[in-house]
Amino acid sequence: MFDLFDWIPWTAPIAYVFIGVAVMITGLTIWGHYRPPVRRKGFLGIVTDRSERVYIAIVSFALVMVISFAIVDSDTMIWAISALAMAVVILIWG
Amino acid sequence: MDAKKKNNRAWFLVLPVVFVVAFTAIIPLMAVANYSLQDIQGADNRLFVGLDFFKRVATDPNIQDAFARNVTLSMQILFIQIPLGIFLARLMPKSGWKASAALVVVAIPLIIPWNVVGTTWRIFTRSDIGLGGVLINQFTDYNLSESTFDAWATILVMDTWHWTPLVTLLVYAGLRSIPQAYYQAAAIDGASAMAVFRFVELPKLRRVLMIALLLRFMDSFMMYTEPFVVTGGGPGSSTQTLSILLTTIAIGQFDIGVAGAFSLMYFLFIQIFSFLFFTVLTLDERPGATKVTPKLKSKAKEENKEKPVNSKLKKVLK
Repeated sequence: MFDLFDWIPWTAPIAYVFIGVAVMITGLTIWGHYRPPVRRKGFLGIVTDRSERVYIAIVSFALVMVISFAIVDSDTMIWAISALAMAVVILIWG
Repeated sequence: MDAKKKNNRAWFLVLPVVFVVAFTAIIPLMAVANYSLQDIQGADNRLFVGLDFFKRVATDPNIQDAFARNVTLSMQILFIQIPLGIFLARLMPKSGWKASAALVVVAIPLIIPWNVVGTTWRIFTRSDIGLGGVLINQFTDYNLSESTFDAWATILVMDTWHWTPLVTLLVYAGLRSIPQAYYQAAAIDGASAMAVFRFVELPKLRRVLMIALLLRFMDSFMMYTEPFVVTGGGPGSSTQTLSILLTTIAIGQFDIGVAGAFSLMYFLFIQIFSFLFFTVLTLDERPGATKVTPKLKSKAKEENKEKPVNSKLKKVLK
């Protein structure tokens, strides 16, 4: 019988990332149902609601990581922590 | 209170789409992301390399050059095709058989398959048997397999020929949807043609232009077939777009891990550019901030107000 998972050697980190994204989207949907998002203007200068800030935070995190990859001999861990801090700042004050 | 509560059960109707998208987009994306983290040598021989491929892609000078080239090409394409599309749409007849004929003529390049466009232009620009190539060679030396400038200009002109009609058709549809009353009001005010364009047409075209801009940007940033057929990315790598380079890595060199990392970064940049275009162009239309003080506070106040009234009423009734 066709095996649903064996067609490719999956890795755990990818599973974590995609499950994380799925949980985040589901969570935001449920949260949005019970507490409709409030639109506001933060330091980004555009009116955003919480899901838009989540998107901007994720994309910014990824961009910072790509920039860090382009810098030779950069410490990925330090960059990842900084990028995460930036994402949190965008989420809260963006 | 409950009447205002949204019924979200309609979201279940989206489930079939979610299912289809899972198979057409999400699982393939997961597979690509999965390949980007491991070096697969054979069926049972693989090595988890973490983010190494991402670092290799980000520091590869060939990929950096291709990225810069592609951004330049996309910007040039937008800079030429959007104004040209608007210009042509304004020239097109507004009604009658002429309008139909113009629409058909304008739409012709859009229905030609991409590799056919490439082949047509490859032959058209040949300096021995191509009409365009021979003609240009009467005035100046033209050879796209030797000159970087010629190759670049040919790609630019070819893409403009192929895709400006899309912008034209979108803008034409946008122009037709502007009510005549606006033009009449402008005529009464004695507005010049330029003023009508600037203050009546351009604001009304904003949404259509945003779609045109996004489509043209994404298409040009992912351009593969036409430059591959016409120049093959050459001379050297002067017209090698990101897509061509990615295909070379993925299929030519069968370096799937690097290609996976490359694809994800490519995807990220398309996301970023599209988001920036979209945000900037819809800045005026974005819904404003939620103005009322937090709902919970107002709700609480209303509830507090109601109670005394109710108790007073009860007393009166008694």
